Formats: sequence, C-alpha cells, structure tokens
Amino acid sequence: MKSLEQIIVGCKKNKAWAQAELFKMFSDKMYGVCLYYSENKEDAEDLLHDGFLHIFSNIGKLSHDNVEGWMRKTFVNLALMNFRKRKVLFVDETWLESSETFVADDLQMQFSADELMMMVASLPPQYKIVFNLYAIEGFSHKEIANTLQITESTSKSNLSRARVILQEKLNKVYCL
Amino acid sequence: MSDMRNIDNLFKDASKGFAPKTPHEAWGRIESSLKKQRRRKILFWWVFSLTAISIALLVSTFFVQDIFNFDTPYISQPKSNYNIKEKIELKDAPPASSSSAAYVSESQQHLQDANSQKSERKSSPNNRISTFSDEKSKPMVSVKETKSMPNDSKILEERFDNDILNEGVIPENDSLQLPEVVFYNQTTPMESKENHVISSEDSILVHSDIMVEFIQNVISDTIVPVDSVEKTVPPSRKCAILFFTELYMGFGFSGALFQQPDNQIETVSSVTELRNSYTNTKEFAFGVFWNKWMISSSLSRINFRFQGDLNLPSRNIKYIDTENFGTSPMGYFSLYNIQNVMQGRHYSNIDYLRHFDRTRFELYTTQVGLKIGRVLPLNNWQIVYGVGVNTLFINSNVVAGSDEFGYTDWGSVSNLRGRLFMVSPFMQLNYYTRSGLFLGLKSDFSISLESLNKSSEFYFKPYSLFVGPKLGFRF
Repeated sequence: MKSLEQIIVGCKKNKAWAQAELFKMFSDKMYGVCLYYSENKEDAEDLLHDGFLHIFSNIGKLSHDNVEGWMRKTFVNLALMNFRKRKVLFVDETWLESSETFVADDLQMQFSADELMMMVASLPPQYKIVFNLYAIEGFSHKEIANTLQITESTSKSNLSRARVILQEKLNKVYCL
Repeated sequence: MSDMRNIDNLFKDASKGFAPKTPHEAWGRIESSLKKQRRRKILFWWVFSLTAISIALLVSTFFVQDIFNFDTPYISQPKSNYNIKEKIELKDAPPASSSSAAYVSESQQHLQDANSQKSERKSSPNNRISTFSDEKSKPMVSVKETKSMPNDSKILEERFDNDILNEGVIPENDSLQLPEVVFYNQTTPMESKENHVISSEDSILVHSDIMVEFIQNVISDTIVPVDSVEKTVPPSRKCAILFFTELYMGFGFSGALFQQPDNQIETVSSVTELRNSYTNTKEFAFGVFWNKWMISSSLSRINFRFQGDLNLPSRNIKYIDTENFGTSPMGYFSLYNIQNVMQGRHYSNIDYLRHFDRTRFELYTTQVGLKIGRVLPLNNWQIVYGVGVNTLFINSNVVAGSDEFGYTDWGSVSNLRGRLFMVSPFMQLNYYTRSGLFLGLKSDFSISLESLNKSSEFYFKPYSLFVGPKLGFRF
C-alpha cells in the first residue's frame, strides 16, 4: 500500500497507478460532494469525471498537505461553474423564519448522513447551492453573492427558504 | 436563530461523513479520458518535435552559409581587377610614325595644360560615356604596341595609366576633346564587391569605344549576377544534365480508406477496428536535373503500422478458428499462438478472449518510384514540387494481439495483394552547399490506387503523409 505522499508524487509524474490509487482513496467522498451539488446522479457522475480530470491535470500546482481540502474545493468550484452555466433564476423572496423549533441533537440520532444529504440534494437548485455554500462550505452571504452574482438579500432569503424546507422534511420524517 | 444554527451544523456534520459508493464505471470513464489526453500529448510532442527539427535544420543552413561563405558556388571569378588592360587590342591605331608622334606630342602639350587644372577639378563618380565630337580626336592607345611607340607617347601612356588606374581621374581638356569613358560594371555594387569584380570605386576609365565594346562583349559574359544557382551555371551548361543522389529517412502518418465486409463468418471471433497508424521510411533516390525539371527514381523501405481495437461479438463464442481468428479492414487474420498463451494464463478460454482488447498490424514493404518535378531555384535554395508514381511490393505482414500483458499472440492477414500502385504528390525544400551537398525537407503524400486485399469484401486503401529530413549530393 502506497502512502498518500507517494501517490501524489506519482500523480505529479502522470503515473497511471498513482491516479488510480488517488481515485480509489477519495472517490467516495468526492462523489458525495458531487451528489449534493448536482441535480441528479448522472450530473453527479459527470461532475466526478470532470473533477478528477481537472485534479490530475492540475495536481502539479498542489503545494500543501491538505489534499482532501484542495480536491473538495476543486469540486465545489467546478460545481459552481456548472451552476453558473445553467443560469438558475434566483428569486428574492421574503425572509421566512421558521416558527417551529426542534432539538437538533435528537434528530441527529435519528437520521443517517446519507438521509440528511439526500434531503439537501432534493432541494430546488437555487436553495440548495446557497445552503451548501453557507452551511457546509462556510461562505458568508457576501461571498455567496459575489460567487453567484446575486444580491446579499437574495442569498439570505434563499438560505432561509432552504432551511424551512429542510426543517419541514425533517419534521415529516421524524413524525412518521 | 440557534435552531437555524443547529440545522446548519446538523447538515455540516452529516456532509463530513457522507461518502456514498462511487458508481462502478466511473473510473473506467476517467481512465479512458486520461488515455486520450496522453495520446493527444504524444501526438502534440511528435508534431512539435518534427517542426522543431525542421526549423533547426533550416536555421542551421543559415549558419553553415555564414561560416563557410558559400555565396557563389558556381561563379567563375576574374583574376584581377586590372587584368583587362592586357586584353585591350588596338583598332584603327595608326602606325608608330613621326606623324603619330607629333600627334601625341601635341596631345602631351594639352595634357600638361590640363594637369595644371587638375587640382581644381573634382573627380566625379558619375562620369558618363562621352561622345566624340571629332573623328580625329578618337583615342589611339595600344598597350601591346607600347614598345613601338616613341618616348613621348610612352610617357603619355604611363601618365595616362597612372591617372586612370591609381586616381581614377582623367585630365580634361575641351580643346583636345580627349575621349573619356567611365565604365561601370553591370552588376550592382554589392554583388561586384562580393565577387571582387569591377566596382564603382574601381571604375575604369576607358578612352576608347573599343574598350566599351570589349567589356560589353567579353567581361559581361564573365561577370554573372548571383540570382540563382541555375543562373550561375554558364549559359553553355544551362541544359547540362546533373546527377544527384539522395538518402532520407522519413516519418509518416498513415491512414486507410476502408469498408468492412457485410457478412461475418461464423467462426470469426472478433472484429478489429483501426484507430491510428504511423509509418517510417528509408529511401534512396537517384535522379537527374535538366534545366528546370527533375526526374528521379527511388527505392524505399516503408513500414506501415496500424493499431486497432479488438471487439468481441456479443454472441457466445463456441470455438476458435486460429486460421480466421478475426476480421480487420485489411482482411481476415490468423493468430497461431493463442492456444499456447491461453494455457499460461489462469483464465478459461472464453475469459481469456475477453482480455484481448488490442491488435496491431504491420506491413513491411519495398517501394520503387519514379518522380517528375519542377525546380524553382532561389539563390542556393531550391523548391521542387511534382508528382510520383510508385509500386509498393508487400514483403510480409504481421498481426499481433494484445492482452493485459502486452502483445503476445502473432499471426498474419491472409489474401493480401503482392503489390500496390501508389500516386504521390510531393514537395521538397533543398539547400545546396558549394560542395554539392544539400540538405532538405521532404514531404510526400502517397495514396494507394487499389485495395490491399484481393477479396472484393474488403476495400482498404492505405495512404501516408511522409515528412522528413533529406540529405543528398549533387555532382
């Protein structure tokens, strides 16, 4: 079994075995990223394909140890590029606050990561992208607004709407 | 607000552990894309290298030209600037008599007067051929008959020579109307300087129309402008036949026009599709340049190599026919070694066949060709373009089948023709050195006029583009 360092060195030398190893090591996690940034599985597979090709051709630029973080960032950037190409219409809705409350710790005990992420994946694209960037990637509203070329208020309203939908979904499943 | 944070954290934590199983075929897709990228890179480097080599060859010829100064390889150069004096012959010269001596004495008197004005007069490089106003004043100078001339005329001649040859100035005297001719060589000053022939600085004043006639008739034949290699060949040799030989190694990209047979034979277990190919060539050529035409014959050794994918049919394979193992655009092919290789692998026979994915075809040929081309000379450069007809003799062919361990099974394509007729338009760029050695860049596009396989089921006409350096000798 080769170490990550050896694999990265091999990838930088364009070695096929190293590329296969890198894929084996990170493909599942990156496929997860692809899934919650894509509309469907086919799009996610395309994103996975394009993302790994991009990583293999740009791995020479990798200068730090956080390989996974760098790969994740690459996938997110590609997803954003695809998202911008699709020209999804953002609507500035009223900032809705959820009236219901719940105890997150309890819920976390009930749902697996797969179920939770599938809920995110099922969100409408404009809500999903804002929620992913804000809640999971840690972007601020200003950064989201710059990245997606929307206003901050649109970003906030979309995030709020996404939260409401997710909360409804959680409650529905929890009540069952 | 804290609830919202809770939701965010809930999904953020979930995302950290979210790693669904990647689809099975995902890596296959990525791998094939990576292979394509590598192929593109290799192709790019081939094209880049060939271009770089060609440019390097062209550039190096300039350096060779600078170092060895091969500007005028075929020009006959005059021995000296002033040797023409010895060739001057006297026309209508009077005999060496007292009357001539008197004439010269009179001339000398005028010359002395003229010399006193010499310092006031500037020599002009733009002196023109003057006309004789009086028939009597025609010059009478003879180098050959100097000895027979009286002393006065000797002095006159010496002074005259000194003035002409050393100072480029002739004394001027209107009353004497001593004829004055300044002759400038027909070549441009730059060419004259390079060739050490008469230049504007060495202008020769000739005081006779005889001299003009001489120079126009005799010297102009000797002084040849350096316009082209061909022009440097003296007129009498313009139609001369020159032999040359050339030897080059070329790299070609070959392809094929083909169709597959409609019906497959039941025993055939695979179909091969050609993907790419290349060719390497070694050629020896011998030819004749005649005026602006070139005819040459060549003998070449050309190896065609085609690579292809081996596709198994979807139906079940019942048995293997090693004689007709597969179908390729070139024809049915055999693989004799397959049973032996199978035994060395840990697969069942059918499973082993599924590990076959590539085939390679190699054609070893000898080509005899005849080319006719038009030659465009430009200084020491030469562009030759034309067309050739070739006969390609197929010496042997080899088929190789590949599994994951490389090409392990060998066979051949059956029912191939023994020879093919090819047509090849071509273009060459050559640089000639003084010694007759020439470097060139050659490009041939060769296409077969008939199908490679004798069977009418297969229609396969290989074509090739050869690009390669060329080294030759013209003697």
